[in-house]
Amino acid sequence: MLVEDLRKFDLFQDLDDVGLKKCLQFAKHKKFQSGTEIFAQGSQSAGLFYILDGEVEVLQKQEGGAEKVVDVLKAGDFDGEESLFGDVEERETSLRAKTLVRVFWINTLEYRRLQNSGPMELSKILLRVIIGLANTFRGKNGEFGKVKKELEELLGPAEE
Amino acid sequence: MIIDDIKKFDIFKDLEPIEIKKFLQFAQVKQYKNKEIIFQQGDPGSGLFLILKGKVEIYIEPGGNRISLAILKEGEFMGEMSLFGDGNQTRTASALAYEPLTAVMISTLDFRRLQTSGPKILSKLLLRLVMGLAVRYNKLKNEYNKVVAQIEEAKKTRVA
Repeated sequence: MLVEDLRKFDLFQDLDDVGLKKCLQFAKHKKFQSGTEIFAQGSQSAGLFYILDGEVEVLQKQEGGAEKVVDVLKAGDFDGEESLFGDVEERETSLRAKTLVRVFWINTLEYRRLQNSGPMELSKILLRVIIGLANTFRGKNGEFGKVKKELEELLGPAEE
Repeated sequence: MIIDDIKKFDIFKDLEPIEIKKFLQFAQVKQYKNKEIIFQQGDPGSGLFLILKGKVEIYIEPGGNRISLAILKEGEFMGEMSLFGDGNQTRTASALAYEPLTAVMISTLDFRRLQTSGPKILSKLLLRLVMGLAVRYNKLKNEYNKVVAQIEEAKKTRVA
């Protein structure tokens, strides 16, 4: 992936060419075709991946072994952030590309290297992640209030 | 507030005492009494507030009618949008201490100074903020999905 391609995404908006090149030294851009498994349930997360575009299904094995879609991740969503702190645990879900998906992926070791040699670039990216997540969180909070109200109207207020 | 007190909060977990000391050169620890106004709708957006202890009520008053939008708790933050742009944004809602409150405030200007002179410190703090927000968002999504499932169930029961 080229610097010009990265610039199209909100996440990298605050970086100049030098900063973008630095990021590309440490992180990888990956593409997954629709239907491809990205991570299997039970495997270990080995870094952070951030969805640039496309949709990813989150699947969980049910009793009997069948998989059920429990969530769909979209552009701006990410996964595996715990592994950046060294908290490597077995994944409780698997991830599968629902459409053509492009992700920005950085493993734990390269993340630490970037933190040392490009902390300013990293802080700019993280701030964009926070803004995006905070907006999504507030939007979901609003939707949650609405569905709770709808449920109360159907059932009556929940007993304390 | 001394460094040992600050270190107790998750967000500062990855910082060395010397880094916390440096951070505190740029940020201010602020304390508010119960019901004290932190900022009002229309005030200049002067920076980011991070709640260390206590709760904050966010509200608006269209036509004099007070509408509560959210209650923010420990680890949550507000004012992140003021860190972008030309710093001329105004507050879109008011904030009030919901109980005795301890918060860290970093102004837009000092945030930029820290980004230049202590970017590694900033990247460590921002990653913790991302983590905290991701955990809360996933919890909210689960709660939301449960309520949606309850609504579907309630509707089915009504039809039957």
